[in-house]
Amino acid sequence: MRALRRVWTLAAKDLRVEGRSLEALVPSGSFGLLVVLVLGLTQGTEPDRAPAVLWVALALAAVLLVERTTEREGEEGTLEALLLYPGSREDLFWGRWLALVVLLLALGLVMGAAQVVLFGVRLGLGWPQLVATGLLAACGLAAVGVLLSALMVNVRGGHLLMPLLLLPTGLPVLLAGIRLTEAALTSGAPGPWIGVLVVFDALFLLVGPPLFAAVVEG
Amino acid sequence: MNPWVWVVAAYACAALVLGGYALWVRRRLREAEASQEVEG
Amino acid sequence: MLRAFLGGATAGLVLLGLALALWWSPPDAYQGQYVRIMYVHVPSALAAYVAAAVTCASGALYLWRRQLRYDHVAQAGAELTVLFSGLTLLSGMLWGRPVWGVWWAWDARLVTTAVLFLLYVGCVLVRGLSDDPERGRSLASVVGVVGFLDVPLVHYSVVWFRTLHQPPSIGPSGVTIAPALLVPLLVNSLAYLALVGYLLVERARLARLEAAQ
Repeated sequence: MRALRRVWTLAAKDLRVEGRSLEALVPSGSFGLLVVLVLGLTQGTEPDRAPAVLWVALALAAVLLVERTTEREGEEGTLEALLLYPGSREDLFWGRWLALVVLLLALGLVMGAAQVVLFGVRLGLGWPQLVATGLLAACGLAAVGVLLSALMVNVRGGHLLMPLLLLPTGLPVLLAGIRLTEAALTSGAPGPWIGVLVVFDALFLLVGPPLFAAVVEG
Repeated sequence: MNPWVWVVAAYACAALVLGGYALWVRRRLREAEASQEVEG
Repeated sequence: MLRAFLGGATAGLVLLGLALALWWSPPDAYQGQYVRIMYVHVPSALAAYVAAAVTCASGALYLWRRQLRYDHVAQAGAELTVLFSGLTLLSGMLWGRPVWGVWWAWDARLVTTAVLFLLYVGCVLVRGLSDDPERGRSLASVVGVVGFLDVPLVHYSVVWFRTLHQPPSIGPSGVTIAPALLVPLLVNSLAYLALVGYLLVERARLARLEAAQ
């Protein structure tokens, strides 16, 4: 119970900081929209391309989001300060994770809306599946993101390596997101993709906290 | 093109990559051992 | 003593493998002489995955026990993973171009190997970034562990992404291997495994010596 409250306090802290300045969401969201715009312009805007464009743009924007929140931690020495408080290191992971899930969902909402407008996508009855996809993808990406950002805090040139590590690791999420979005828009079968997302989430939510604890201790 | 060109190219790549790495490791090993003897 | 034996055995196996691959092995009925590239490609892929597994295991051990010797092995393993997966990609291209007519096929195994290569390039790079060597070691260990755990997921998602959408890409999978080709393949696989073992031992020893200075 205490652990839960700690996690909630930490997540609320991260979200409050972001809510005041929006200095992570606005740049990464704008960058994501730019990617959608450029891909739409160069590759065509037939509605059946929308899922791939959406998820590629989302993945790139998510990298930027994770980078920016990491940088903020580093500049202000937040992590060092938080480590001085009693309690388990894994709660720090879960707090940051929860905040990042919310931020990623906000990013996805903005980009999804842009897709509806720019690519003429019709949502229809597939929206519950889209919501589930977004939630599962955000949970998995956030787990990897928090782990990598713990690695890269205060590391010179770390922001350059973030895409090199986050994008290949998150590739299953990207592919699953594209296929599930396609299925939701065309009422097709989801195939094995929900399973892919669930396994990805389970894996990184399982190994994430202990690895995070090992990194911040060492 | 003669198929052996491709075969030889593949083996040359392997020799360059693996041989180069092995030689690099051996040279640095010798250096490290030499400097350790000096210190010792 | 043991190292000299390992070195000698590796050299012997590599020479035997080369002789079998370039001279003893008959040309394949379909692929002709090109099949000789397989004796580089398949063993180096095997070696890359073995090296990645070693990196993952020793990285996890380092994070758990915090003993330097595990990290030396993890460092060697990460470099060897980059080396052998890079060689797998190179030899795959040199094989694919004459046989399939393309340098690169979007085959799941190729994409997975490319992802493995990129992740472990990141793993090697990340070690040098931090000013604190202790921290650099933790970073590289985590990336090594995460990268290897991610590989099966990447592989299956690429398989399904391609095959559920369009016909499976061309690949050497349908061909069953004749014994005359299997023997050189096995010997070469053994030779590459010995090579990985030998390089792992030597590179880890180098890391230990350099850490002691």
